[in-house]
Amino acid sequence: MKGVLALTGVYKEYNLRPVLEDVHLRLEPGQRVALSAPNGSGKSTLIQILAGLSRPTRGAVTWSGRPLDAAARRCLGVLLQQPMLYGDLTGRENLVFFARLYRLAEARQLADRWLAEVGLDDSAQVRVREYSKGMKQRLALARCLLHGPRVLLLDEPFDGLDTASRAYFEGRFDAFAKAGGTLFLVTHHPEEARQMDRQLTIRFGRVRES
Amino acid sequence: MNSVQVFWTLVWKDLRAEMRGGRFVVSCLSFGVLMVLIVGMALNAAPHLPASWASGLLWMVLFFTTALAMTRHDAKEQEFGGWMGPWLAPIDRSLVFYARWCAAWFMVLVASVGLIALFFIILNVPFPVAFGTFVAVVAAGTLALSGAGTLLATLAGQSSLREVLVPILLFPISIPLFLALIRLTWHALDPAVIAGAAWVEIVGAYLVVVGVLPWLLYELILEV
Ligand SMILES: Nc1ncnc2c1ncn2[C@@H]1O[C@H](COP(=O)(O)OP(=O)(O)OP(=O)(O)O)[C@@H](O)[C@H]1O
Ligand SMILES: [Mg+2]
Repeated sequence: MKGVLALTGVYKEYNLRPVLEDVHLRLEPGQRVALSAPNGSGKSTLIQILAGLSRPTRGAVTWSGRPLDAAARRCLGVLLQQPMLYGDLTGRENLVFFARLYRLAEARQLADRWLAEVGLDDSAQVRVREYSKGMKQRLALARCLLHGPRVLLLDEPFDGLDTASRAYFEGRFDAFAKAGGTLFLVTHHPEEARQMDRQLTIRFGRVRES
Repeated sequence: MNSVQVFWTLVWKDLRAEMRGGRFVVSCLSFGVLMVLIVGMALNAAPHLPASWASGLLWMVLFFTTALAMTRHDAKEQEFGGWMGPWLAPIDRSLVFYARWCAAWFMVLVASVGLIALFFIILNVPFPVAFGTFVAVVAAGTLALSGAGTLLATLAGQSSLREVLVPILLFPISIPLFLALIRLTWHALDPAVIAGAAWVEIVGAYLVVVGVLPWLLYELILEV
């Protein structure tokens, strides 16, 4: 079953200052959507609302027409500007922990497979606090793909990556899209946005096609 | 995997992080020992500290160490956005609260055992007469305090003031709890002092409120 992640009439205010106003957005299955807008225009806010991490002031987030609940969260893979990892746990422990939260079978073997996949097998036993930015981002990628999501929400995922890592990430996202996954990418680079099926921007708090 | 397993996975994460350098227990202990030493010097190692003073001082030390440790624990959750990870997972979000409370309580308890032993030795306080009551009061008191701290950390959300908000709010919220804990500890140190059932009920009420409120509200309260 494929789902549609949608926002209807979403408003978001921080300290009574509106950031998003009357946002309507449907992410169709298999679609690749890019969002580019200036700094501070509310891109991260929008992605956090889509991910169910932040509650809109008004409006609804739905997955296939129903409110985004625990079961629907399983279908989302989220990569934000923060890696969402625990600094005091090793890379391997982080992945095992998240695999268990997603109730995946054989969490340890799965973690090891993903560590090898993102090229962190040498640093598996190192605490994430000691990882470089790119290493944290690679581990975050493994964390977000580990449970086989259907929608990927990516907030500037290439930030701080070297050329090789960047190519690897792009390859991963392409394969995900080819397999029918939905991609929502926040980016500041016009050439990345152009490769997507649909380009959006935020102007005065409203999301529109660009 | 059911809710119980998810709960233990969350608790395991906190305890494992502690073993890998969380230093919750160590910082609790070192700060608490310093406080006990300062109090000891101020009282000039009084040969017979009255039981009422001893119980008040004990809870003062336990309060500050708990508040400090909870703030530190919270900072660890915020670092690298770790807290959002479990928030994304397909689990009942109130479990995140209960697991965090349970882990914090366990670590506060471990630190408390060391602290209390030193407290009795350094301040030369006689061993509690009603030892069972004493243990129960310390366990229930630290449970309620760490629960209130976890709840406040949740309510403070992403407020820029959260580092100061949590310890500062914890105090006024816990005043009735303190009065009850001090009275009950006093009773444990000196059974001649009567501690009415009302004091036990206050501690019980705190536990119920901290235990039930998040279950009803957790999906609603965190949101930023
Ligand atoms: N937790 C918060 N509390 C108060 N205001 C916030 C909070 N988070 C974001 N904002 C405000 O909301 C607006 C949008 O922020 P957001 O992070 O969504 O922007 P962005 O488009 O992702 O920017 P960037 O390109 O720099 O990542 C900004 O003006 C910011 O100051
Ligand atoms: Mg942003």
